[in-house]
Amino acid sequence: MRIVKEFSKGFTTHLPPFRLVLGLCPVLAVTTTVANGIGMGLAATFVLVCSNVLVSLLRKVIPSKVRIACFIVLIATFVVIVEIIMKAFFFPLSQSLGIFIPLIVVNCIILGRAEAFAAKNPVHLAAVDGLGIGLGFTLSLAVLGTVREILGAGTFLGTPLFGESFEPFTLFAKAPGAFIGLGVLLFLLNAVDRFRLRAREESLQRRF
Amino acid sequence: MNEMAKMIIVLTAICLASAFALTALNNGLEARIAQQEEFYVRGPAVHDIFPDAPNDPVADAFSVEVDGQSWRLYPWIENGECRAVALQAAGAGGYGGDVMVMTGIDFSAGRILGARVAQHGETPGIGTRVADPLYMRIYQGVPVRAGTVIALKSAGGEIEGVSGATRTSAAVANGVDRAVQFVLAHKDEIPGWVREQTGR
Repeated sequence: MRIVKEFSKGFTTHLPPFRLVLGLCPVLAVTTTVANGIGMGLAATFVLVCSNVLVSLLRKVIPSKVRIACFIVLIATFVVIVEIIMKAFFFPLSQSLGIFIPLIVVNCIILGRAEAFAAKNPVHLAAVDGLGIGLGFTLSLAVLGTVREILGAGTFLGTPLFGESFEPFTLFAKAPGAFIGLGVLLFLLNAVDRFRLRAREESLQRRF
Repeated sequence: MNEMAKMIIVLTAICLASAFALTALNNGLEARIAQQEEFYVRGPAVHDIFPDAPNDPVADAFSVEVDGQSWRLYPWIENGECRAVALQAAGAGGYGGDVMVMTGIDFSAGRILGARVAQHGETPGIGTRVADPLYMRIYQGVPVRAGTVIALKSAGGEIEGVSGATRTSAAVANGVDRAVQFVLAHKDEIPGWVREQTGR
């Protein structure tokens, strides 16, 4: 099934930011807590799905010479929509994400999907592609947010985990902790990949 | 030429549609956003500046229109008299646009009770040091008399800026100054407005 394939690639071969190493700025900046990570991920997912759908609908109308300008206007529109809605209904979240919500405009995952996928594929596939990549992005942010919140603040979704005597590892709440966390997660994913590849090669060699 | 015309038409149409959509959404949600800002940003800032006000300045807040500009005043009412007000003013000159500053001014004693940065778009980590309440204590107790101008030392005033964030510090000083100038210009009218608005 094409739809299932386009959806699930967001969690496997195209998992951002670990597979598509794109959009690192918000990944590093907002993952101090799980809630921020999920909020940012869902905001980006909304923008990604909407921009993919519109880019795909308009792909025959938009002249190729001005396509990037058109994509950016569409993306910026949805980002401002997210910003206004978040301010009206989730004000504390919009305050803790701050400047990183408007910065979704320049998140290369979104322009990347518009250019690489939505501009060449029909609407339903573009929507599913956006949803898959967006949710994969949300998942990655949530995982990194979990690691950083537990180590850096000793809490999960704001609930203390270790009791009063726990000394939080504040490095993980700061930018260096984001780089270290991201690096370790990338290492683990690549190690798992290599291990699986080697296992497959060995089983092939045994067969022949 | 035909291709050129198409490019212009398509891009213009997309921009127009976008502008319409955003204007409609903003008009629809403006009131709700203002209410959220009052609850999460301006309210806590006023309570910080007026920790021991006998009334609730946020509940007694009202807006006045002066010279075509709307100001929201948060009055400190003691024994039926308004002694001080907090008000928000936009400080011009920040890197990320205006810095919104809430300033509490005791106009009967002629001094600033406190100031807080309510909203800003400055770079996290550099400009945001100015928003630290510890720095903002610098405004506490600054005398306000006729002719007082609040400005940084580098601009000939009395206020120490944060090093490395001079422009943001100047924007904050500008916001405080606008609040001070407003109160100095209207201090005789403010108690009347308060009585009229709150019925006290």
